[in-house]
Amino acid sequence: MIKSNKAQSSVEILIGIFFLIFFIYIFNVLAEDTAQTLEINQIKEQEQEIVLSLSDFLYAGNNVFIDNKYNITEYDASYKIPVINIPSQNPSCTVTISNVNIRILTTYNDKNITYSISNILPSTSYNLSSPVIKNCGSELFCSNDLNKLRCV
Amino acid sequence: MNYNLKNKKAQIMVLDVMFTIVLIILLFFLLFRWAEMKTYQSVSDRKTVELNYISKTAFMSLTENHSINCYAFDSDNKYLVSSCFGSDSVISKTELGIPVNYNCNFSIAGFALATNECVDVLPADSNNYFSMKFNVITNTDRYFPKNIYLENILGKPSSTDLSEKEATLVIWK
Repeated sequence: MIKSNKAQSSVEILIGIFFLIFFIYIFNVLAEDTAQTLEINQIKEQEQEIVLSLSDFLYAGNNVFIDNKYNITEYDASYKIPVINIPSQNPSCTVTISNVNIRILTTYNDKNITYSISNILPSTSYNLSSPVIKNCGSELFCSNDLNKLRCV
Repeated sequence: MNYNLKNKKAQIMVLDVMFTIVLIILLFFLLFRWAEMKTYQSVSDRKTVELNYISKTAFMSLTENHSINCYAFDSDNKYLVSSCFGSDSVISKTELGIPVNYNCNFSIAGFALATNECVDVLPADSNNYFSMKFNVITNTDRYFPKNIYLENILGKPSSTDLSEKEATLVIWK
């Protein structure tokens, strides 16, 4: 009788441990997903900041260029593209400036996260016949090339 | 008697464990709700930041633009007159830096612009848009002699009176 009770208790403890492990596993997965969602949001916010500040830099160049279009001979401006920082890692990102849009692509845990803004740069000021591709953390240089701004 | 006491203790322990589990589940639901709220807020903020950025750029391009605003000239030089529009000022989305997927409406009360690309109509149910009213100077021609500009500033009698009117810029996606 006592042995049977003991065996029953052992089975109950085992079932309890199994459920506890299952419970921890499920909630761990859910917590990781939640943390990832929050980090993706942070990445998107930082991507937007990078694209808009880069757009500001390019648009400022456009204004300076228009102001001095017929007098300017030398124009050299540079902009260091910021990197993306999130608590768990520093994901790599690439910025593409074309005559269609300014686009940023971040690779985070095998996911591609992008943000883009339609290009607002007048084609009369910028020579973007081939897209400019830069990695985050690198420097973008813009200069006057045959009465149009060219960035590398 | 002893068996009953042990049984009661076990029941209380089971209840404790149950309460703890229920509390943990509730906490997780709270966490998910918070995460959901943060995500929604973040998406909403991003839209607002982008709209404000586009609108700020458009406003600056509209009031301080060599291709749109007026020039006061003398025999040697010409000077840009900010926030001044002639009937011949050409308003285009490209010049204002407004992306193709955005809409805009620019008008000056009591003054017609010959070429204006910003004539979209704001939908009545739109609740996320940028709107700004500001005073501008208007004239038939956007090029005028410097002495006319100075006479108008100083309030002296002038052959051409530059008008002050109210302009409205509305931008939305």
